[in-house]
Amino acid sequence: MTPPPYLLGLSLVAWGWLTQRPLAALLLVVLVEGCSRLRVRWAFDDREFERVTDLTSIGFALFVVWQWFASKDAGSGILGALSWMPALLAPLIVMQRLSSQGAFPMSALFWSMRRSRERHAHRRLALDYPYFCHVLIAMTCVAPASLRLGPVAAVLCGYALWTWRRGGVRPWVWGAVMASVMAAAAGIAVGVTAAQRAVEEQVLAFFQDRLALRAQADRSRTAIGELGHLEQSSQIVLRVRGEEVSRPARLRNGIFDSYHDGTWFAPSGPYRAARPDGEQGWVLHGNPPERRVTVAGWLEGGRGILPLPEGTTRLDALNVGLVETGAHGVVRVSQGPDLIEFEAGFTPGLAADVPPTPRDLALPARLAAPLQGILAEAGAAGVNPTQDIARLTDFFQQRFRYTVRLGRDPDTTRPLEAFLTTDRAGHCEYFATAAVLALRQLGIPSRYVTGHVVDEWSEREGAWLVRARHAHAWALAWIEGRWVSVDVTPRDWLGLESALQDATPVRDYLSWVHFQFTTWRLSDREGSAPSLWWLALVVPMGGWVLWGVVRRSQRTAVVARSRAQSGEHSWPEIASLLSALEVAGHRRPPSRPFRTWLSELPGIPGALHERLRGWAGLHARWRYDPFSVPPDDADRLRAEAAALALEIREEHASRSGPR
Amino acid sequence: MSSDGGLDTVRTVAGALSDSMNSVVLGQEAAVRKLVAALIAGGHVLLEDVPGTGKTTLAKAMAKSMDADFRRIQFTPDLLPTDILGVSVFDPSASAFHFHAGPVFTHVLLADEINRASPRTQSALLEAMGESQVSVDGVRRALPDLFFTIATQNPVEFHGTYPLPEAQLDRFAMRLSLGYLSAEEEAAMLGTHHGGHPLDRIVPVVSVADIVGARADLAAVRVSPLLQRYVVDLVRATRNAEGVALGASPRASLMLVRLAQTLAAFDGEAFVSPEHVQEVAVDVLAHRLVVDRDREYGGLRAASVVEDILRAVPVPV
Repeated sequence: MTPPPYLLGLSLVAWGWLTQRPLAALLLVVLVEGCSRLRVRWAFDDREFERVTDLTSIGFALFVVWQWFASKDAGSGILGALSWMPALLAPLIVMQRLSSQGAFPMSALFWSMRRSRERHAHRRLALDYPYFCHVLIAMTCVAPASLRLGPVAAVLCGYALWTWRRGGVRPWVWGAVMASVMAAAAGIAVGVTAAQRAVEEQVLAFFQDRLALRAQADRSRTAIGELGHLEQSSQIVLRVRGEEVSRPARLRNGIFDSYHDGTWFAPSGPYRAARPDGEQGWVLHGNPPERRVTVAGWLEGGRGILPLPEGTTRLDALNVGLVETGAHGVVRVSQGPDLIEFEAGFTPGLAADVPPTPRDLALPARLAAPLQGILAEAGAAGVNPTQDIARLTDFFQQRFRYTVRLGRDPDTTRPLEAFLTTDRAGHCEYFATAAVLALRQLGIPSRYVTGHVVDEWSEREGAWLVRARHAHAWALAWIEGRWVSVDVTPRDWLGLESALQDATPVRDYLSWVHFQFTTWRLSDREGSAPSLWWLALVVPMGGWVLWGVVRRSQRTAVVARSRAQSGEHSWPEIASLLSALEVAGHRRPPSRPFRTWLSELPGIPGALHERLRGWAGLHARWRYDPFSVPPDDADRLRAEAAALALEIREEHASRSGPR
Repeated sequence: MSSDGGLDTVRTVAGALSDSMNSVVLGQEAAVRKLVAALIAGGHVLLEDVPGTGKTTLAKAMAKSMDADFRRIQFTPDLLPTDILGVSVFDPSASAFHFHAGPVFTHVLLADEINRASPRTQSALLEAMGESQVSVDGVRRALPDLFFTIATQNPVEFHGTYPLPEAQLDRFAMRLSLGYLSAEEEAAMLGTHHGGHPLDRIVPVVSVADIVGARADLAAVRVSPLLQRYVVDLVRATRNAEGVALGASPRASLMLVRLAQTLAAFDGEAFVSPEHVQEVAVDVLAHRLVVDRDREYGGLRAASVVEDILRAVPVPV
């Protein structure tokens, strides 16, 4: 089934308009429609079709890879490749239009058919409509044009379907049915879009509640129980490199000061920009750092809170656009790549954080009684803060039990009271919250901190691995003019967590490979525009394959030309005879046999006509029974054709001359 | 023009037969030529026309011009398959069944008004026409080397007709229409009938062996790949033609080539040219096409579909 004329050209124009690639579209229109205007056709054989299909596939795959490298994330890479499909698939449609067969052999398109090529030799597929569909798909990849996309696609589809309509259906009926189908489709599309948006909002709300830690960029709250979720996973989230002596015990990424009903809140602002220093350096604090470690981790969407050691004063080799510090010393970055690796300089024990505020002493009244009970039991009198902290720590270590299996939903109201009075078992968030509130009860300003412990050394990677299950929470206490970390969680918690996990060497290895690959990928595209080194490989390879195709096809080209341009002869003498007859006003209808036509030509003098008839008989024999014609007769046929052409021209000139 | 001795035989046989028939049926040279071609090519012919145009006369003229067995069956609604094929009768003296051959066991069979019999009876001829044999009571019986069916029918719109099923129609090599004669020819015909029926004056001019021999000689007529492709293009075009529900079968391509070979031999040429294909294309293809019901009521005829195709498909030159 041939598509209506210029369908592909029109769809390419629409594609160029919607995707704002007018030049590319123009080039493709000229290429695709120009090919069908050419009068030359080649008789490609199936292998040549296969070779061009393979080349196109390879080109497509390389383009996808390149797009992936060139763009910020994989999703837009694939979309980019899709939106360029008309250009990427153009070789196929051009080859089809240049071929005398007019369709692709199935074996070229499907690998499964190549093994039994002969059996499928007759199965061919014209690519016009498939190509049209790809152009339509390519149009849809462009979001800003979505308002124009619907009508344009509808008109194109209508035109494409026009030739398929059943005979006998009146055009206006057909048009009305088409229009109503399109309108219904548009309505359904609007409905589906609205439904999708609603579902997305619901899902987003659901996951924001569960995974507030992930949405770190503006994280200002954390509910008790969130870390409990994370502690189940062995996924590697951070890698820390550096000297053993430099290893920070913990990396923190959230500092909170207000507790209300199971949830910790941080002041939402203000954030102020850090001072850049050098190429990729940022100064957080005036003091020079004592130790340095390198931290590598994923940055979702290019923004987030940096996990940092306590007392971090400066950051180096941090490839992001903006670094800001929050009220409590939390560091937020944005405009970065998917994966960042930076050097953190820090001085342990440095009072880099903001001094306490009244919020650091606030206590929910409801918890006063149980907290008093705990303090009394621990023997903390509120006289010597350092001693009180030590006693409190010992008390939690000995009287409480660490567990992540609470046996009940942690979201139930008043989880902390249950932890303090009846359960006396929980995970780090409970311990940390209890410690913060108990210290406040004693009049010591304290804060709640979330982050990770740095504990697991990997020989293979030469780094400390920080897994999701290393997520931890602890307290900061303001003692003698500086913030001190207070971790009352029973010390065996890490061992308990690890025991719960299965060993995951394969996953770790894959994670490492992914990390290495991403590091390499990101480092490759630093600096100038996306590199085109692969062109050096592809262009010669593609050229070699194309040359092979063309070289092989030349042999068949001559044969195919004479067949494709039916009604014309490869012998110049016969062509000359035909043109002489045409000048004299005789043009053969293509369905008229040559001999009959020549013998019935009107207005040709008797003798000449007799010779023409004789010549036509010999020509028919030469054409339809070539083996019975001796070479001499063939030569005679050519000579006679030349002579007849001359005479017909002269005769015509003599008749029209005197006028 | 040709030096092939075999082809000369074909020409002689066809010429003698045609001359004899033309002396009886006036003004039907083209139909006679095709009818003789079908006889020699080994195809069966369906003559379709209004009553009184000479269908039966033509068939009888052909039969009488040959030194061959000739049987005629008048098809009626109550005709049974055994009336055509034959029947086994118990012979008490021999204590065995004895097969009484039906009229189908002959050289030339005239199936007159074939579409007046029921489909069951019509299809009794299927095997005979397709495979030159009949199966009666589970026994296969071969027909003679020369078995040629000329069926006549009135146009299907007439009363009391059962249209032939497609499978049956496909077994006819061609369908011919005679049409009315011109005024002069009709007047001349009246003259020939003056001294008795011209059929009575006919004598056999060819034998069965002549025809079977000529049929074997047809193989010498060459068909170039160009022409084969042209025939295939034509037949395939009928399958995609607008308004056609069912196109022509591969059997049609075979028959078209074979008839074109025969006509080429008649013209003394050892190769088929497009003219010969075009000459019989309508007769070979049209009756095999099933035209869409609604298009048929709109006046579309299979013959005009084929004519359009002949005008559309370019001739290989």
